[in-house]
Amino acid sequence: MNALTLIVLAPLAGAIFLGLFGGRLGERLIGFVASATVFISAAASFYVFFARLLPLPEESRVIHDYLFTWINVGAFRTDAALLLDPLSGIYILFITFVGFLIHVFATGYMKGERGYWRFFAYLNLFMFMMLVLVLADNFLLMFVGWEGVGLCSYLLIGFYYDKTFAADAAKKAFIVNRIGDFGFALGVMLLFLKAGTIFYFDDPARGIGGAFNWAMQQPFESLTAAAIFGGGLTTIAALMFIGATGKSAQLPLFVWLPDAMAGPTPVSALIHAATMVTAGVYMVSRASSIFIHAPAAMLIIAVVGAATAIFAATIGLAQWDIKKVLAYSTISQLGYMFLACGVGAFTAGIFHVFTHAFFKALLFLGSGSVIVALHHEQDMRNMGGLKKYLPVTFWTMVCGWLAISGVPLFSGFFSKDEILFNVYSSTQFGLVWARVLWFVGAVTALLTAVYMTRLMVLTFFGERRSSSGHSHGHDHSTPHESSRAMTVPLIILAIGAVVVGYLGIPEGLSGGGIPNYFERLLEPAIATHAAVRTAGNDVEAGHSLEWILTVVSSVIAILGILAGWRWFRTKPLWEPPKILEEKYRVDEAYDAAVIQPIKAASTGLLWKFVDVRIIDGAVNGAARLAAAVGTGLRYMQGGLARAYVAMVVLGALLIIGYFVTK
Amino acid sequence: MPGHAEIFGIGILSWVTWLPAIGSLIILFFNREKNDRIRWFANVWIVICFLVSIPLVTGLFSMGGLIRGGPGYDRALAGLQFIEDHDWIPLIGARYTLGIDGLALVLIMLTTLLGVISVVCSWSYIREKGREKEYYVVLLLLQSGMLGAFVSADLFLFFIFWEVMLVPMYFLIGIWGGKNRLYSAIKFFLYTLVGSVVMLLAVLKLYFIFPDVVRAQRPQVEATARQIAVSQETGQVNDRMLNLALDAMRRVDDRNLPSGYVSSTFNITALTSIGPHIKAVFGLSLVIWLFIGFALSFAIKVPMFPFHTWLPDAHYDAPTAGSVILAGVLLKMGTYGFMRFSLPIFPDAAADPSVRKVMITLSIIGIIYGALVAMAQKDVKKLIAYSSVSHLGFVMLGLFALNPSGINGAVMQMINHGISTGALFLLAGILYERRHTYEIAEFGGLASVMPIFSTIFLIVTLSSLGLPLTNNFIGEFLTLRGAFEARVLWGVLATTGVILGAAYMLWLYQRVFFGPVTNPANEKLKDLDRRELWQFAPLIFLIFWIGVYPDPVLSYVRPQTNTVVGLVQPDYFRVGPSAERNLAESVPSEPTAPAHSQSSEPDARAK
Repeated sequence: MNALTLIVLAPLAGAIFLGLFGGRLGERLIGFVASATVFISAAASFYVFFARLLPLPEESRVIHDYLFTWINVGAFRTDAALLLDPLSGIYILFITFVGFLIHVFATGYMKGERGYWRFFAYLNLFMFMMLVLVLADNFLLMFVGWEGVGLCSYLLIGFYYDKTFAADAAKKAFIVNRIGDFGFALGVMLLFLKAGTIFYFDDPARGIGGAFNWAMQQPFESLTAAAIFGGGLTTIAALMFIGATGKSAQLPLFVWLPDAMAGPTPVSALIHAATMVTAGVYMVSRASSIFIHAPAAMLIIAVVGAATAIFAATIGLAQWDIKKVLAYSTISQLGYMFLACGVGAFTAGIFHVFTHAFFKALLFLGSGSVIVALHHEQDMRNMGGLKKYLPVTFWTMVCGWLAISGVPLFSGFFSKDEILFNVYSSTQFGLVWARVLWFVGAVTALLTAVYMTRLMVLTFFGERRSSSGHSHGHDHSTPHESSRAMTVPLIILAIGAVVVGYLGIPEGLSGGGIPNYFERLLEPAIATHAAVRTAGNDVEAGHSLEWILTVVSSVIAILGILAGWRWFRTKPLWEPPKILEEKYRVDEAYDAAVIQPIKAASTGLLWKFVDVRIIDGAVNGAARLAAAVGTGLRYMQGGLARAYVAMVVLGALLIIGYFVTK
Repeated sequence: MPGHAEIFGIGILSWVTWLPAIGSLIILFFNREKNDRIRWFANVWIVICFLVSIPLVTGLFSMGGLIRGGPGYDRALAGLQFIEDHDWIPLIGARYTLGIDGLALVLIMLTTLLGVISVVCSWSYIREKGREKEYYVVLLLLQSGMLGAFVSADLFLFFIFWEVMLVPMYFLIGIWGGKNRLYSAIKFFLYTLVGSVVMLLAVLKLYFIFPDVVRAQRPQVEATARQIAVSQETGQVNDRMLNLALDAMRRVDDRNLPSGYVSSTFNITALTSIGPHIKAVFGLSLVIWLFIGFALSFAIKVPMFPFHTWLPDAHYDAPTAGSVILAGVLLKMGTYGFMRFSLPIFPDAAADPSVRKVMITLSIIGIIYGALVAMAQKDVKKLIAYSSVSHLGFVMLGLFALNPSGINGAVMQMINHGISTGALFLLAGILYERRHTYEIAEFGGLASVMPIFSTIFLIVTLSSLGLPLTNNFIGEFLTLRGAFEARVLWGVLATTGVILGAAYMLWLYQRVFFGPVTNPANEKLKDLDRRELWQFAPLIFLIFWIGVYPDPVLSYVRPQTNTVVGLVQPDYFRVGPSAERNLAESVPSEPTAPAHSQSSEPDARAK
């Protein structure tokens, strides 16, 4: 047991303490306990990462922390054991850091809410589960965190449980995630069947073998549909990716995330933007040694990622709820990350996860600040002109806006640029795929800049619009800037949104002058394969190309902002196409195609017909028959000698007949 | 050192078994007007019964000559411990033989614990309903009947207990039940009785062929007896159990038997020893017929699809305590029977591809069908009852996966279902006591009215849908993994049940607890009082304990599982778990210890 355990257990202790005693404590103490446990976790993370992991030689940067053997049955074994390597290291750094800021923000945001203690108990529990997910040293323990964060998401989406839509959204999130988990679980089982282990790496001290070591020795599977159903690495990878589509809200399982905005805004920032939803990217990168051998699965990932990116971006263009815009934006950005993973640029994907955590958390918290200032108004049609009332919120959100749009020198620019470059220069799916995927990515980048500009314009610029017929009476009061507990985290995140990109300046841009710290750090934790050519392992070829692509994407970003600015400054309330506003009616389609048939079949067919009519009918029929026979037998014992004789003869004849015909 | 303890010269298993019955006898002498005294007595007595079962795990200190203690159950040994063996009916060779293996042990602990909870939870319900004296008499008798079935090491004795426990349950439903109680009680009784009759025939047939098989294949039968008595993990031999079985075999040809003694036996170990050799002497079809005889009875009890329709009715009309026991213990009788009798005594039938296919198919249908029908229910209790059909489907699936993962998972699920579904019925009972209805539509928004109750309900719901770190996850995952190992398609199909499980449980939770309070009758419901709260404490504790650290439970069960797998799939441990993979083409040569190569890093840093 070492400091890794502390990282995980501190938030759990907070959750248990608040869960049991929180109801009797004051708000200040609750907020302090919840933030303090995450702070301990963050401090321990920074310590372990910088003081313990980095001093190790590059090729052996792995720290194990074995607690106990969890399940041991036959040949199957899993441990409760933690593992820190550069990949999980980066994750715990931003999870605990951003998590801590959001906890602090929430102490202000949730002020006076009923169930304050419950909120922070759940939030602490979430931190625990997320850290377990990331620090697990085998797939089943990862699955614990995986479903655990789903539970916390359920609890927090349904935080306002007396609101029907919140309760609906919570249930939907859990069940849709369960569908994804179904794939993940099957993938893990298949992995065990093939590899005989579900640990990531060898640990000779415990006598366990690692699945990734096994995977690296497997042949490179073919890029065919047959490989997907072949029961090999491609099947494992495809099944695991189903899990990722659930947790990370990709097509076709994205439908829960927009509804998840029913939860309090800090939850949207922490769980549904910065951390939990990126778990799918983590899992795919973690299992990169499996995925790189499965090109068919990789192509699926790239295509799903690209399709989700553009699909969600178009919807984001047409939403009026400020949080819904950000939700679709998150889905779209997650698609970007998967696009990167799909072409084998896991490092670029993780880099985007990292920068996105800062600017998207910032944008959500900023929107939360706006929502609080307007007394829980989320409709952008009722906003406008807030710039002068909420200066801190406005300026910090400007940083987030420029970062996500990919304006040069902001963090999102570097990560997005690296993804697009990697997609463009990928070769394993052939030139056509590379160009098509790049084109989709570029268009998405343009749309991103447009809808974010729309959000900013509608919220902060122009005239203040207030809703008509609003009964609160707050309409004409002037909105006030939020308290320090909320603005300080915003400022810190804004600084992050600007600068964290410099950790990973693409080598092509700096000409190798500034090292790409991010990539160098992650390199040992990410598997590569000669057949999966990414920019990372072929630097020389791409310098000039990278410059060209960078210029192109910079132009796209600026163009998008200018177009959005011109359009929405003049027509802020422009009605977007109905089909976009209605989100392509996917929810309705699922309801009609899946949910209603299941409901109808289970009630009408299985219960009322099979169970009641057929089975119970047979049982009751048998009982009635027995009763009838009993009644009949009663007549047989009527005391009539002739009848007895007749029966004896009949019986004898039957028996004789049986033996004769036999 | 096998577990052993005696109190007043009587073995502890007898105490555990008969103490509840003694309690019900004592209650008979109470004045029926003195309801408070009866209630207090029953509550205290059932706690004593639970305490007496604890030494089975912990061992017992010797105290003077009256209490001769000994160690608790020894996990290093396979097979029966705490053995008691006395003459009973020499005429037919039936003996009073008690003994428990690890499986029986965990089920006994579950039974004594749920016994306490079922008595405690009846406190106010039965005060309202009346006939308290008879109620406690019946409840305690039921407890003895169930414990007797678990401790029996003699098939005849087992059968007696198996039949006996039907009767109290029948009265429990028929007298203290809901509005359709007579229909439900009779349906329960007849369903189970039909199964029992068939089982009796199979028991007798098995009894009569025993001497023939021993005579024809004595060395092989004795070898099997030794195999059963050896723990695969430690290699230790359970001498006491082995000797009893060998004695029974010796009697077959013993010409010096005292008069009145017969040459056959009901000793379960001895009967299990002839199991693998019946086929050689009498052919496969007899094995399959005997298997069916037992299986039908057990399948009705489980209940497996399509024999399940008694369950929703029985649950719906049973009083809360009855439902808790029915779900928690009585259904486990069926799965226990499969694990204890059907699989080990008739391995050739259980491993027969077509028999197995039928059993697995019915299990998977049960899982999905139970879940779908649960989703359609408009009534809390019926929903939970159908969810039981689904959960027990998992147990059966795990058992017939015939590998360690599946069977261990199945046993875990037996226990977990007892804990979680027991708790669910308790919770439903509390709703009923407050509102006198189980109708889901009557509720809504209770989370704001009864916060503690809704928290506990949520924990149990999450456990029931198999969330990691709760008990059901361990069992479900192992079961599914076992099924997946046996045949990928089985695993895939059954896993869909997990999705549906989340759907119906969360939907139920939402309809009862979330949303605004719409029904004025719910506005002033009382949250849990202290007695109600404390009865959940052990269950909640177990939910998390088993979920986080299942090894203590698994370690009791593993030796038995290994024995069963060794009998049913003799090649399993020799060839390794890859024996029947149907994706065998690309299996690595060393499935359990792969990739111990020189390069311990996963990446191709050598690029």
